[in-house]
Amino acid sequence: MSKVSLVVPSRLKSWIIGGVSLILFLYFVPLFSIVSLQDAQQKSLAANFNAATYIESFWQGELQDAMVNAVNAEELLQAIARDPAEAAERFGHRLGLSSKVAYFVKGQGRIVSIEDGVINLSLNESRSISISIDTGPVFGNAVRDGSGEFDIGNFGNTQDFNALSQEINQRIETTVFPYLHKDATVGTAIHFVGGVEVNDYDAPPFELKIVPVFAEVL
Amino acid sequence: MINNKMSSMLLSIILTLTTILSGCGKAPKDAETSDSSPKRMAVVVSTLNNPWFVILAETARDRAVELGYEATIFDSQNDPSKEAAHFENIVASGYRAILFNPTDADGSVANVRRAKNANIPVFGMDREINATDVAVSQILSDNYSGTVALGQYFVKEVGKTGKYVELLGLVGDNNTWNRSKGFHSVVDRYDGLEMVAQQSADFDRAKALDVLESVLQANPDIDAVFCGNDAMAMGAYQALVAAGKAEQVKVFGFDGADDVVKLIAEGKIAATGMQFPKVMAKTAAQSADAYINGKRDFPQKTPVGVELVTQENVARYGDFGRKQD
Repeated sequence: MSKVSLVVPSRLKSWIIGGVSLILFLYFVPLFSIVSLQDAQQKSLAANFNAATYIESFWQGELQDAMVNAVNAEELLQAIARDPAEAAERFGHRLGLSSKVAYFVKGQGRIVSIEDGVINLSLNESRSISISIDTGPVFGNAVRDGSGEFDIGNFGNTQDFNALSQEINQRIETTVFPYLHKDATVGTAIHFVGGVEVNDYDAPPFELKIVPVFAEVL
Repeated sequence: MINNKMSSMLLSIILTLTTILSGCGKAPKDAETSDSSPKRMAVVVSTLNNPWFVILAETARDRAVELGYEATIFDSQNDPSKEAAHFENIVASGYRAILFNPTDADGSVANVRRAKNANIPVFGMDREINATDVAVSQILSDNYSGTVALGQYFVKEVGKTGKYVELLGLVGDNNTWNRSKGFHSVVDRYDGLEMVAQQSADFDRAKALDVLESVLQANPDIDAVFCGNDAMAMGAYQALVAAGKAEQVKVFGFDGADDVVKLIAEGKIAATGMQFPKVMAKTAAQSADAYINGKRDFPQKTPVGVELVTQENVARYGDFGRKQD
């Protein structure tokens, strides 16, 4: 039996060494990387999000529908007085598993007093629940959640979802409040539409502080 | 002839190496889920070095057991590489579902995708991942809204002028920034409130103690400390006691941990945001069970409301929730 010896030509050796070196080099310093389509789509979703653009579109579109469909403040107060949980179910929006409920309301009242950051109203009937209009600074998610137009599942992460509220609140402060600060005086009537948050959906609140998306002194 | 063989061999080596090194390996094998195997759920938690997460993990495990599963807790020790190893182990071991509290909003996505590719459903708890197409559902604390309420109470208690310190949690966690942004969306509106230091203490009590001790050396005249969780609030409070400043500096936490709730009742800590770890853990376990039994219609994200706990309403809270819960 004859022995077979493998003789690798020196030129081939150089090719092998060069090839392996090249592979190792490309491994540590890749010319490109492979990213799954899903990862790329998710990153693109997060990177492309612009709260200002989103809210501009909302303001011209869905908000107008929400204003038309807002529950009348008198009707809401009567419903809460009868059964707060049922009122929340019928008129409110609850975000996930939260005891908080947000409403979108419209109505008309007379200004009884103006304080720092709030205008107190009297509606047609006197109620145990006081009604007021927030005049800033605005915090929270009354309009975002009260309008019922936003689904958290549609946003890449909750930071984007939260940015919506910041953008909405800022817009209200710059577009609605200057008008209110200028024209609202005690004794005048005011027409309003806005969002309001109530901490416990199943308990009657002491007050409804409405964050207005629209206000008109009559 | 030999040259031809060598060329083929070389080509094979290069192709093999390229395949291995570029990671284009075989897709993971589907988990074995035959009816004869025991029904098992995995609970993967970011850390057990914090009582709040112990409650989250143990409640998830206990609810899974009540629903008829064997359940195991995997502690990632806030280390994404340990978390990845847990997922590999879980995928290879035939678990039916994973109840998951991630270590990193971006870094954990690949782990959840690996489980999804192996047909193991993942249900997030408390912390978010930055993807909406991998977990079946994520049950998350509404951190931003919680800290907006906390920020408003902070301004009420501290006033519109003063100096304060912020202790951040893990910088890779969305909760850290949701809490910080919610808080700042309020306090930054008041020019008189000056943040003299903002440092991460990784949600860790001992680190918070160290960080605040060091901050106090340069800023002995602070009025308040806002902490991204209650473990850090406890560490901050400890540092203030040691410095003899616990009376004049107000501490604000977030979580609703029992020791902080007790200190609020004693007037030693100003406020916290009550998250509901038991609600989140039970919801995750029940959702996983429903999924295994055929349900497929789950919301991608379910926020769980956070409630402000202060001296005025502290009697309503305890045991990581409302007392009647």
